Amino acid sequence: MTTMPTAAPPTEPSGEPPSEPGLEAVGTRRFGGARILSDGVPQIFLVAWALLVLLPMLWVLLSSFKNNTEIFSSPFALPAKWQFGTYARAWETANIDQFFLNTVIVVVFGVLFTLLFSSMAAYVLARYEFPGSRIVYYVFLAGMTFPLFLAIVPLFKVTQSLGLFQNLQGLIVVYVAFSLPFSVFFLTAFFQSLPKELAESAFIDGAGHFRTFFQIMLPLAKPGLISIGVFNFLGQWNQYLLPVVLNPQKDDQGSNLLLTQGLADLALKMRYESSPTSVAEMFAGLIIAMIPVLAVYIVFQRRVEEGLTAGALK
Amino acid sequence: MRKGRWPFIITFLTPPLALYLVFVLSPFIQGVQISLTDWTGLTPTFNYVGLQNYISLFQDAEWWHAVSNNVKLLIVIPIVTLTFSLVLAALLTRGGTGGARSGLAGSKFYRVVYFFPQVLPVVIIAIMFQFIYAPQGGLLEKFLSWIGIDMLSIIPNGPLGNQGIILWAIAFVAIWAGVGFFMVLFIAGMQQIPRELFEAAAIDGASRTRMFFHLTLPLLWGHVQTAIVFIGIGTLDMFGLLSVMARNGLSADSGADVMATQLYRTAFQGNSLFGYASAMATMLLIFSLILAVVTFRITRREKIEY
Repeated sequence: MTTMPTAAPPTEPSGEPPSEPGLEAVGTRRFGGARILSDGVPQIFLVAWALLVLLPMLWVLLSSFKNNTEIFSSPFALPAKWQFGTYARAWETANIDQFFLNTVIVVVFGVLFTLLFSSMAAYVLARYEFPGSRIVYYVFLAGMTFPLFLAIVPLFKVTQSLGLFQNLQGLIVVYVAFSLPFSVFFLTAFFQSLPKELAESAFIDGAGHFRTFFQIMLPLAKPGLISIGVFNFLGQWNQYLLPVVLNPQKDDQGSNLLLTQGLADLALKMRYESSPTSVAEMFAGLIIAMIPVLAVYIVFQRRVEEGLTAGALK
Repeated sequence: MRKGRWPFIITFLTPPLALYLVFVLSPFIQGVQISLTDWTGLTPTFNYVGLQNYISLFQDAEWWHAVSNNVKLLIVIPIVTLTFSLVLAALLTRGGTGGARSGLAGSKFYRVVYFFPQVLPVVIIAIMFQFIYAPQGGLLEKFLSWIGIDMLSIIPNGPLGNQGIILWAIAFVAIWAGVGFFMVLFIAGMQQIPRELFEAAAIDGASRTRMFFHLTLPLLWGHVQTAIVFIGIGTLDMFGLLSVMARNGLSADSGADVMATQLYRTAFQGNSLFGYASAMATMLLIFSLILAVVTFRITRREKIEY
């Protein structure tokens, strides 16, 4: 970070030629010379930050194909011999296949039930005025303002007494519960923005409340459901505190652990030093954990940003 | 539309509400209750001890050390993160180009790349930087020796093995991970500022720096304010990063204990002092409320309509 130049040096030529709106596309070429000068320093700053973000990730990716000696002796070089086997070994011997499967199960059911329950509550709160509906809405909202930490000790107790401790079902239930406040908040606003007329004409055609919801409103709410689904996918995939507390390792293989837990466990205990590519296998594990979230982000870039910024600006 | 209304409302509201009350709301309330007991989590019974846990907490030097680390992080991380993200956001929108175009060349690419760390699991980031900071053969050490600097002579034992540096080494990772998110937040705000204002400023010959301080920043102040509260609450937590990088889950303080990691260790490692840990949790809640109130007081400005 110390190498960063300041973003807007006072020495730059002040006042670029103002371009007319219609000329913007051509503008880059027309004033090319002046642009290179005035954009140069800011561009250096932009490139530097991009490198700072990408290099660690590229280093992990590159190292995952090396052996231990290469990782530590020539960190910037390409692997002398590409060790594709590290992924297979990480997957099998380090149990990452099991951690991955557990995570997928928890997150898939977590997101599905979050979507179902939050859209049910949000639809009722958005479209049905009844005594106390505002109170219920604010009770849900309150959940967004408390830090998870305050709940963690009692949660340990609650899950134990309900038989939801140290198993994946318990995690799913708790993930869904903690995903509700924001999801209900987001989807209530979304249902309120949908046209009322469609639901009303469905009623006139004789559809009941349940049919109207499942056949008319839910399909209409698809964009909102995708946003909130992606948002919760990322949040639940990345969760660490809840699994560490509520789902501690129950056997030697850690057959109940999630990916974040399993990898943190491997990294913390370093019981992983035996094979010549052990560090590379750790890196392969990191890449395996990164790929799903990066893929979802790249595909759903707009919606991820929408969901996350809406969360901050609530 | 009135027929069958109540059965529908009840069927749709009961499952989510029940789940929420049992797993979210009741734990928050129980947390305060448990903080007034001597419960160890291992026994079925416990006694109410009044404010004893809180009194012990205030006399606990380790807790005050954790609080002081929290305060240090709360000063440094928001300032550095938000400064960088504001500058980057300005450069990728109209404000950073002298008002003429919608962003410097490559804005779309940068925007996606800078956001990457935000979607990665925090624990994965923590493990990654553990290797980057490794005293021997880590990316940082190798990079420094490549440009002719011996890392271990400046930082004995490496960034994570050095009590004086570890907190800042981890703070850097938090900044690394957070800048992209706040940048996107600020870009969203900057796009709401009418482009005519930037164009007018450009015609008047305002430089980038002037435009940033006299136009962009004042009009963005509401977003900045929210961001400060948001990053403050995030900085109070930082459990994932700290517990992995400072190994606070396993061993006692290595120089980077904060309230959250100390709470976790008090409750779930060793003696499982649930009552004491709950008092820590309640204090953490009080801190985050104070933080929000203080931030809004300090940053209050006249609201500018546009």
